Amino acid sequence: MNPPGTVARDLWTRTGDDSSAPEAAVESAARVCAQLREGLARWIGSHGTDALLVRAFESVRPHHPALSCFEIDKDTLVPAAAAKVHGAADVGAGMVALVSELIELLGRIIGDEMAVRLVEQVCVPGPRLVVNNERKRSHHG
Amino acid sequence: MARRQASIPRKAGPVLPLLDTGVPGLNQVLGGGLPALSFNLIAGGPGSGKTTLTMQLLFANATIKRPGLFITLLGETSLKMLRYQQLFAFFDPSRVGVDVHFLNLSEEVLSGDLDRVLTRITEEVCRLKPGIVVIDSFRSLHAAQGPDGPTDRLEHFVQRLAQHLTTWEVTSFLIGEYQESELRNPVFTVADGILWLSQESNRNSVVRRLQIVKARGMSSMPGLHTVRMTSGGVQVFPRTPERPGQKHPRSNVRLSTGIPGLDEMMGGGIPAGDSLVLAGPTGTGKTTFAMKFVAAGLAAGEPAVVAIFEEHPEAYLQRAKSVEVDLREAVRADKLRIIYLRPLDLSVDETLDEIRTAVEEVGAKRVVIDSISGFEMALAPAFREDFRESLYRLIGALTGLGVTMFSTVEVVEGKEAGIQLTGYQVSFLTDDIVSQRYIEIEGELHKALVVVKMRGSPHSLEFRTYQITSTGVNLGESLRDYDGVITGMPTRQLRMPPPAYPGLTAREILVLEILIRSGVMSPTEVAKHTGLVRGDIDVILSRLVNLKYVGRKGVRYVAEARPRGL
Repeated sequence: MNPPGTVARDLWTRTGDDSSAPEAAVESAARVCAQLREGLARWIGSHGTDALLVRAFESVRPHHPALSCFEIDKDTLVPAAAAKVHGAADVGAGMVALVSELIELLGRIIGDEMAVRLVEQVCVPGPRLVVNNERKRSHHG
Repeated sequence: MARRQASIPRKAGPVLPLLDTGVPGLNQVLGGGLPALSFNLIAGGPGSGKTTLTMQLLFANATIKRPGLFITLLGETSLKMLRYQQLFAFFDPSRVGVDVHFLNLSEEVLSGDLDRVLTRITEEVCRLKPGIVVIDSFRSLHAAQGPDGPTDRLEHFVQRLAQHLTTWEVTSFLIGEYQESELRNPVFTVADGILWLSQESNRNSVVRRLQIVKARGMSSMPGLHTVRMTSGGVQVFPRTPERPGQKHPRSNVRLSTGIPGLDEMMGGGIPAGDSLVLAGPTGTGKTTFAMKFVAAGLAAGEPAVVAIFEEHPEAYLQRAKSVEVDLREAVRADKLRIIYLRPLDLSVDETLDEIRTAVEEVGAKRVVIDSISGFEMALAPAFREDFRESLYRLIGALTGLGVTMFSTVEVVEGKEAGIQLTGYQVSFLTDDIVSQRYIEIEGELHKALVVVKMRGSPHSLEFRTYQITSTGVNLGESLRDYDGVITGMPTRQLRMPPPAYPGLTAREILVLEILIRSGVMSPTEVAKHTGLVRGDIDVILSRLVNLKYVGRKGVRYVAEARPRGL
């Protein structure tokens, strides 16, 4: 099982963009957030996902001012209408912290392994994982 | 003339493909398995095991080609479900997202738009192509419609859902908290199978049960079946048929009780395949008798199963050793299984399942239940109500396997005269009964036993004393000379031997015995040997001839009778 930080970094590397302009990084962060929200809602429902995202956001925001690119609207984490501009790397670090925290919060409820698995399902399109697991099973006989 | 009832002809033709449910015992209850592509309802109250049973079924049948899809609507949240279902052994987290998928549609349900719910389900089914789809909790769709919601919409939804899932070759399960009064609900009509789970609390025990209310195309087992949930998941214990299918054919083989003298009293031992009950008050050595029965079997190469309810197996083995019955080696060699059952919430079906499994695994020929009274105590209160019927089913099922059963039962001796058997009317339940009791002779307490019943075979009717010693059981004297043994306070009677020649006088007996000893004699010779006068001899011989003790041979006489006992 990958640790939450690694899964979060993978997700950001795959979907985010911290090598370009700050605006592009903010757009990437919004995209990751939307992907997480949609992906996790499939498994645990939109209300459960929103509640976890908001709680994770509130937990890491004090340490990552770059996350001011998000705000809470009606118990849902949404891109902020107006936010201070931060460097792309800061936005990336904030997103990795947010996703790590989300995995840890989810892990406290359904177990770390299952939490990582669900977030990985969001990060990685299904077929790749399916193929990997099929291989793993055939090895086990 | 009795009319022979015509049997319903069976159609030879297509056979329903069945799925293995992966739930031990459920296939048997369903009549072989679950029909593929069926549309099923898993109904019951909260906590009855609906979600767990269905999840187990899903994991058992999901494959990468035909995955399982678990859809949660409202009710138990997905987070909680994932949290708790992971605790079961069948739940393999590595399969989540691979061949087991979860989908939460609470938002769609809350919108109250059934079309939207159906669209999401159909989209996911088209995308994943699952072989199994579970919808939990279907009941929440009723709630989302509101109390005054139109029922025809829901009916229409159920129809469309069922058709869609069948078209996609899906075996589906709707889970819902329904009451029996709701059986007219449209979902019940559409369903091919209805599995009804219930949970009953009585004092400190909880009993879960399953009933197959409907199973299209299947010959399911009727009645309420016990369900037990453990960390391994759900297990169903099929209700033992009330009429044991086939009694094992009786043979002439007799099994030794292991107690010298008792086999002779029983006409050679216990007929193989019989069920014997040993009834007696506390301290009369019932367990020792049972141990001897087991030991005799093991010595004859017959493996055994002992179900005990009142003491731990280690204590049981220790006690056996104290009467020179060492069972440890047999346990080590798996020739003897000691099953300790004392959870106080057992069902008869679970007990039977455990014993039957052990019988099959060790190839047991002898089964001991020690004791029936302890067995009753170990049952959940809900099962004690029909204990006698349950016992009947248990004994029938076990003897149907061909084993010989030896059960002990404790009785309470009262002041009233008579043989106290049991409170369970065992005569109806068993083939053979041996009764023990305490008796007082000359101010001392003794133990006595009698063979009360041996179905279809002769046996001794005498009471005999016995002693439990450090080596086992020693049968003692016959109590033939006592009356009132069954009162517990027998009295010795001086009995006159019965007359050898009933109805004869002393002089007639004298003549007869002379004739017996000497063979053929004339009246003169008889007079000479007896010293009686000739006139009396003629009268006596005439009477002996009339009574057919003596016959004539010309003018001579010959004895035709022999004294009793010769």
